[in-house]
Amino acid sequence: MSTPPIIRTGKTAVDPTDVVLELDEVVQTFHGKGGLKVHAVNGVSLKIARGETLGLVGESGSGKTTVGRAALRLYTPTSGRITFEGADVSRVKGRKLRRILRRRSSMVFQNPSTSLNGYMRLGEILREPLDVHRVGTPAERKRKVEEILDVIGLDAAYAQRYPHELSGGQRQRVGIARALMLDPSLIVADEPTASLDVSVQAQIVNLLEDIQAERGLAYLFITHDLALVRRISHRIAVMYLGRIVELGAAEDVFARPQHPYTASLASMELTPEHQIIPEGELPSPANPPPGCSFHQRCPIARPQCARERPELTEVADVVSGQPRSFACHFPGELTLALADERVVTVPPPLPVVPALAAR
Amino acid sequence: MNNDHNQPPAEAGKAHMPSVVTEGDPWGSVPTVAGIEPQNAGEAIPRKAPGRLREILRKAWGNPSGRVGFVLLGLLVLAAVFAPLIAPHDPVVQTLAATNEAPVWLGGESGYLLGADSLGRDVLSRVLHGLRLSLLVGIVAATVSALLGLTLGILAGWYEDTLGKVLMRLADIQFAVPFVAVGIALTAALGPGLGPVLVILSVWGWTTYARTIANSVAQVKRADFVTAARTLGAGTGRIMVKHVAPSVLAPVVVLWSTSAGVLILAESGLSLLGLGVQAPGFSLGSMLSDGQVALRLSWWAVLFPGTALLLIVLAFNMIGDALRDAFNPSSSLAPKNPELV
Ligand SMILES: Nc1ncnc2c1ncn2[C@@H]1O[C@H](COP(=O)(O)OP(=O)(O)O)[C@@H](O)[C@H]1O
Ligand code: SF4
Ligand SMILES: [Mg+2]
Repeated sequence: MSTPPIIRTGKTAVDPTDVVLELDEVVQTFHGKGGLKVHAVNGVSLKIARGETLGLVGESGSGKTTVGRAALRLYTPTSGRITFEGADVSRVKGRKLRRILRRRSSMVFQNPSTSLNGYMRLGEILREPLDVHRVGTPAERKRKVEEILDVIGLDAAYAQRYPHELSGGQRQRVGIARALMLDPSLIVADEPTASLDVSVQAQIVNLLEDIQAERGLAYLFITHDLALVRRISHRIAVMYLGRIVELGAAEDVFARPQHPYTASLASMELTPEHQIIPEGELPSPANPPPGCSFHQRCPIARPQCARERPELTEVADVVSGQPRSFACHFPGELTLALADERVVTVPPPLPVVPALAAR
Repeated sequence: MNNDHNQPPAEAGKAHMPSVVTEGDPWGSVPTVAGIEPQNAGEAIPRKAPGRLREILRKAWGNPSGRVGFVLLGLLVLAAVFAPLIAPHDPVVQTLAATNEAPVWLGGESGYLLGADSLGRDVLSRVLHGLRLSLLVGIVAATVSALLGLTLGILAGWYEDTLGKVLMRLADIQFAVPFVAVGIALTAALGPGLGPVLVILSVWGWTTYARTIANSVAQVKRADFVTAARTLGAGTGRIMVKHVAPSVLAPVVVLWSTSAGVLILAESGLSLLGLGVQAPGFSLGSMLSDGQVALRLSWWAVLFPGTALLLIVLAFNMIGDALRDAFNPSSSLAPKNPELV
């Protein structure tokens, strides 16, 4: 890897049993054009604990955004269960949904220009969550808006401004501020830095980390930036075609990828001759392949792969001992090429997990 | 793999975080980079920025055509409001001796500035009073149909697959129905008078608004800021009022202005058919229909109300054009949400 893999500057301590959000076998199917059923999310299970950042990576179209939106109940899940702070919110509606999930969760978007209503002043934008949930008196709301502007480093006078008067980075900070107005326990951040300059990205990431350290909130952090996700996540989930194919501690997943798709992602940080580039395109989620959904593109696929779908299986990482899981019949067989002077940390040889090779 | 991750290695590791990894770095201490201005610009910011509609109006006023339109409309409205004070004669009093009397400047001897009609009524006074009803009809009908069209257009766009389809089909049907026939039918049902005409003029226009905005509404519905409002608990009603309506207000205001002129003309058209206001009441439109019987003897009884109508339509159109320019997305006032315009 080009940068030391573990830089845990701002990472908070996490009690994994203090679960904020749990998805259990969530399936999200859309009705696409021509009556096609698009299985955007196809049986995803994950947990996020208080103060934890779960990084969600995968190529575009793999269903990351849909997982994030499903978690916030912007859809009704086709099947599966969503539990938020101990309450089953899979099918709640109206006032109940508002009181439980809406009151305690929020979202930060990729594009700060489209995530703020251009016709509203920043003060109105930031006050809206308080208005919706009738939190405090008008004077208290105004004070809270000023406080939050201070948290994100903007003068209180900015409350009178319109979004188009701000820079991209300032806008994204306002988007984060809005997400904080109700003191949530969960924020879904969907590629929050992808549309920003590198220098501004750093600010936004630091802001998110500081907020987490201070308030202990959980992030579902969606990105396709591997360096970033390693830096800020406690754990990382790798998605492929609507499923999680690998999940584990941030320092383990890319250092010792078990799933060939993860290995290919990790190899993108190497020089071109060492990159493992799967052939072909991401298959259509309207028509997922049988067996392992990666088998048409997998460099080490065997006949079994086209027949049997590998289940997500949990083991202990051989180095760190932390739990990790993957969905592959032949885990760890595709290894990263290492002979490159830019690679400073040489991962240990990939261990074969015998218990799993048998499956 | 043609995707997000397929970046050259130099980029994959993006000059990311090296500068950021400083322990406990409060983000404020990140070196200030070009493009990040100091955040304490409080002095320069007015405490109360002007409202958006005011900015739009100011911008339209800055446009020469808009200014002419506003001044013209202002004068017409003033003339209408103060008609009882400035009209030289009673507009309904018939002076037999003045029948078809020419304007003074064409040798008329009774001193009527714009002449008298075939019943000996002062044309100037009638134009001034006629303005009142015509402007009232136009403004009321345009406003009602704008509100109706805005509401139905928002509903049609929001529920695009259900109610939207029904409403658009209704609009198609309405388009195929001759407007005048409905006017006649409604008058037959409700009796003659201004009422049925006002009703039909107010109801007929919704389709233009609804068609114009339904698509934008469907787009705004998918905009991130609407999703943000939903995740924070805002209900559909609130979102429609606070987020959707302001985003589609621009075309509605522009259409309102242009349609006001058209509706005033439509009222005259119906008057020519004997629908609408009945004597002794009158509008500019009914003056045209009254005057045409004696067109040869007193053409001024038609020309001047016609001119007044023309000026009204002109004023509204000029204002409409100026508003359209003021709302133009390339103008600095427009929010930088290209997909919303
Ligand atoms: N509302 C929707 N209707 C139909 N298909 C959708 C919808 N949302 C997402 N999809 C499809 O689901 C798949 C996953 O999309 P998405 O979650 O946006 O992936 P990602 O965020 O990883 O790029 C894509 O094939 C996309 O076309
Ligand atoms: S199960 Fe087979 S096809 Fe799927 S990733 Fe593993 S080796 Fe490749
Ligand atoms: Mg996405």
